[in-house]
Amino acid sequence: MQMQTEHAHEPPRGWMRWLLTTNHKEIGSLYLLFSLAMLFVGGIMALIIRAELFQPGLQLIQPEFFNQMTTMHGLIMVFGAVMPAFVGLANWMIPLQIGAPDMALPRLNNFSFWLLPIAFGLLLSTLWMEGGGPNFGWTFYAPLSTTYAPPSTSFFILSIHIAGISSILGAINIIATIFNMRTPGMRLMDMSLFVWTWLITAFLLVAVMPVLAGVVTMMLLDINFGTSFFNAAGGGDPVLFQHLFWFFGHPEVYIMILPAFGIVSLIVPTFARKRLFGYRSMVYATASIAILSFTVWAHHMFTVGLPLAAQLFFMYMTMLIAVPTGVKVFNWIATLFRGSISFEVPMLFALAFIVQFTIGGLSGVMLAIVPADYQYHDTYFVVAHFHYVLVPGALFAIIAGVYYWLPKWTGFYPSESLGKLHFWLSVIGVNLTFFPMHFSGLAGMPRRIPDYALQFADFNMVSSLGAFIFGLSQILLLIVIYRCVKGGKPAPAKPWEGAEGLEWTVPSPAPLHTFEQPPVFDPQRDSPSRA
Amino acid sequence: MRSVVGLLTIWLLWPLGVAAKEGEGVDYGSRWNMTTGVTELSREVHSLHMIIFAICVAIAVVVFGVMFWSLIRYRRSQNKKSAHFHESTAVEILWTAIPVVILVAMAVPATATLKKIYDASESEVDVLVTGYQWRWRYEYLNEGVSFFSNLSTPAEQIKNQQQKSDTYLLEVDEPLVVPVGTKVRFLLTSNDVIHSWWVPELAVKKDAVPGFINESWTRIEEPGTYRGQCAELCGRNHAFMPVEVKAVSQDEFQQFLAQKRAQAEAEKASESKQWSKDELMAKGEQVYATYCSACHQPQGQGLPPAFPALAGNANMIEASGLQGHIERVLYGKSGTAMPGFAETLSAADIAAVVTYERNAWGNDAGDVVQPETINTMLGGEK
Amino acid sequence: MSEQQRGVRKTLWQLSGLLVLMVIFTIALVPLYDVFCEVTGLNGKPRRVDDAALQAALSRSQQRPLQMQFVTRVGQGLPVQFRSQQAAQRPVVGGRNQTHFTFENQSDTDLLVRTVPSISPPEASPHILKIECFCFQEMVLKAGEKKQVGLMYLVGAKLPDHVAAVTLSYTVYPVADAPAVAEEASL
Ligand code: HEM
Ligand SMILES: [Cu+2]
Ligand SMILES: [Cu+2]
Repeated sequence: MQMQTEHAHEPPRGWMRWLLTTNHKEIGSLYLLFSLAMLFVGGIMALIIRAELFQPGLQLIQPEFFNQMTTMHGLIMVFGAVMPAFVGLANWMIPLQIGAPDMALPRLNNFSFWLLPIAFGLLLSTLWMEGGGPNFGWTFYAPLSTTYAPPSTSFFILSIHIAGISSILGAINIIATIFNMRTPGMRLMDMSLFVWTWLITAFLLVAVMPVLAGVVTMMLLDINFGTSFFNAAGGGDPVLFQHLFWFFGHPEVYIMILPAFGIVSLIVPTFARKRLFGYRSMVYATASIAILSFTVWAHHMFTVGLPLAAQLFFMYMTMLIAVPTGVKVFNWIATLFRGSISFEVPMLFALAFIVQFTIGGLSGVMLAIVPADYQYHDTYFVVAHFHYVLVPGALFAIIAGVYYWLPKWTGFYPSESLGKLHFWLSVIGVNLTFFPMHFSGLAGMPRRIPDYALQFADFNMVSSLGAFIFGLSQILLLIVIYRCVKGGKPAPAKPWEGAEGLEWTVPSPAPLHTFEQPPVFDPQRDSPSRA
Repeated sequence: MRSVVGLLTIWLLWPLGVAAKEGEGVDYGSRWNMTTGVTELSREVHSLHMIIFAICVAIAVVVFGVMFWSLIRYRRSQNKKSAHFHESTAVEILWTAIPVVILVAMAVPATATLKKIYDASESEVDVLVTGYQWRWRYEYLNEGVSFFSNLSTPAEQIKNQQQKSDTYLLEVDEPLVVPVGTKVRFLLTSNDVIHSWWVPELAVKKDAVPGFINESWTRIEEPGTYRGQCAELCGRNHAFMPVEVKAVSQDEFQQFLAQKRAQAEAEKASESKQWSKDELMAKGEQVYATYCSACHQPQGQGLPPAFPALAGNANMIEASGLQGHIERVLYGKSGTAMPGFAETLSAADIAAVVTYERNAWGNDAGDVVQPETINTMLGGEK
Repeated sequence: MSEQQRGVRKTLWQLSGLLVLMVIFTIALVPLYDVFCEVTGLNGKPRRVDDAALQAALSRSQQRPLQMQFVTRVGQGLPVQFRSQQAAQRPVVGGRNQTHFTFENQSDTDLLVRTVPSISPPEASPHILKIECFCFQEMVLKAGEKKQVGLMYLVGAKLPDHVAAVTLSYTVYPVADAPAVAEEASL
């Protein structure tokens, strides 16, 4: 086999080894480290924003820089932190969970990773360009992002293209791996939910990344080549931009949550010592969320002036998408019911995910109600909603996954006491930051403003406080990971008593090469869907 | 750990030194919930919000209740052996069906309210609302009255050099005036980027899109002042383009229109007269503070490189720069943040602000520009 | 080649196919959006009329109180005055209607301009059919020229009953891709 010959010879040493590696575990680690770095870069930007918003008035930064910070923060967290973290986990765990020796396309894998530092290096460099970096929000609505954009916008577009290519290639690799590299005997309905959710996510990526690429290309043409896709003065339509963007954007938000569902669906059964309730309905729910996610995009555009019939259609579809989402939450709780539950750090993060994600889902249902959304739209209420699903939601699931699989990666348990401290500080910080945003939003505070009226002062002060607690407590995550790589309590092959899956049949730490011979898989005994 | 606490403390204490004692602020009726507002529709939207909120809280209580009860009841120390069940078609169908029913129950009143919001027919007053970077323009269609509405909060308050007033960032020089008890229709569009016109107490939020027209309406029941803000990110001063709506009796509204018309007449008349330098400087100072100082700064020092300094600017100390100076103010500079003011400002305003810029902050061009000159450059009557 | 590699290759081909399809779809979205808007009025652009549509719309002329309102706007920095001769009119539903607008070029250079129409509420726009409009083509305004132009339109009989007032707005913009004239205009 080609893959065997490839890693038969000695790998290069030093940094060249990391530059050239085609090993799924090493590439997985690279993705995770990159994502961690971006988490801190984006986090510092968030703290700059929150510091300015600590009090009314302009204290620290000017509005134009503030706008660059909100824009960069959003772009970096979405494309640089959350998505690469999931790809990193996929690289590490999918081959281990399906009994494959590596990803299907190892060299492509290396390429898709190294595109990311290029893309984000370029994106960050725009901050130092004349006129500053992108300042039009992560949703970059035209014509603010075209006719009225800073000169650096062409570089922003290029970096989105590169990051997009990276995502598409990563997704193709994941699909090819899952379809072709499963150990003999493993059917699709025998795969772990993490593999399932990633499979569906990868299809979403392949479907919508070209749309994002298309929309930024049209921007590029409008800016540099005199076309008028989005320019009303030339007969174009700025609202078309929003339709195209959200046709990508809404599936994109599910790209950021489906793998999180997968992680939580593994951790909850492990620590409840009970099989996942409703494996099949979990798979069906994931698939229906993915399909429905293409039919709800205009819920981001309820105030642009759509005809009544369109408003009603998108309202009903958006409410409908809450149903499969609810099914997932119910299944997790049914898994807990009559289990034998222990509260190790991964479980704490997973449980917090369930609660906090549900809060975000419920505010999502409120946002779907069009007349009410007229009051919520573009306020801090929306900011609260999507941060609840993304930070105490998706990010918590990622952190839960990291704590869950660290023993497999390093051979040591992460520190339980530091991990718990990290957990509690994070929970307190994150809720202190984002819960008050529901109130400031309802009271009427618009989003994306560097200064605000006095009536919003109290809740903003609390949010800023919470943000610094949350931000600083992530230093603990760094410490935990660093110490876990260096040593600690040695972990056996299966460090968590209730865990299931092929990844726990290889030693801890997982050797560089695993499953060179396909492992034995007996659906009757090993499948999560067994009778 | 020590350093973390240390950092937090420093960060917490630092702003206290900077903070001036602030006013209490005004609010829209609540500081932590959606306003009930002052129209039939806003009340309906509010009660819809309260209903769906209550339903969501109820769902949360049940779901989290079961979850936490399970966590406590079935913790490892209480339950050594977990159960074996892992699916139940009946239960799964049930908990798919129940949410559907709940959602339908929410959708019915939402649809009814939305239909009412969409019925903008039979309005008595029509106002064309145009978004500009960064101000609103109101035009009473069929009445021949139009004006711009700018943030009136002084820059000193924003920069924390002066105590902030209660209406900080929510106040304008010329509010939109509408009659109470009358159906007022808003037609919205934009001159540049997308803005969004929002008054929470009227439950009206609609995007102003360049080249497109949108509509919305309200019927205010109680006289009063209702405030709001631009809701769509529109560039640098997005936070600084508030909306202020004054609802008055029908009589007062007619007086207001008459007064605006008279004011416009007087303005027009004044454009043909010769202005003294002092008059121009006084008016120019005002115009400068409203339209220019946000970028070019109160003392004309600018914020280079984005916003060039005007104090000491070659075009503004040499007589030969006059023509270019006026054109820049009239038409702006493409590719930069500098807008053209030909449409926004009257000929007198432009003459005054140009004169001011040429003779303030140590600039000594000495020349005086008359409104007539501007009108000639604009090709006749403006 | 192992069976696994053959499988991977096949998946790759299939996914590339999907990718190409999505790229084509994205490109097609722009014209599709226009078609979709024509049918539903999604973006409030009034329709240009062909014969079949004309006949269908004319089929049933009716008397109902509809208010047609005209709003005119001038794009940033364009030295043009643009007015509707009538602020509003009561058109015949199911019949032809006519009104006039005036343009005045206040500068001493020729201008090439384009007028962009928009209709509110959007549900009305599929039913406002233009037979003749100055917005169909770009237009030259000579230096100092004052020009009267006409609009002939038809209100379709199927206009939903609840629509009692329709606003037709026009914004006039300089044509940017005509450098000689436009450069002057935007300065
Ligand atoms: C029950 C499921 C959900 C519903 C019904 C829902 C509904 C909505 C609605 C209606 C909006 C638009 C609000 C507005 O701008 O006025 C919105 C915004 C948003 N949602 Fe959700 N949502 C749900 C779940 C999620 C999930 C799972 C994610 C991501 C993980 C997510 C991420 C976002 C983001 C990022 C935005 C705001 C984008 C922006 O304007 O910047 N939502 N949601
Ligand atoms: Cu969405
Ligand atoms: Cu704005």
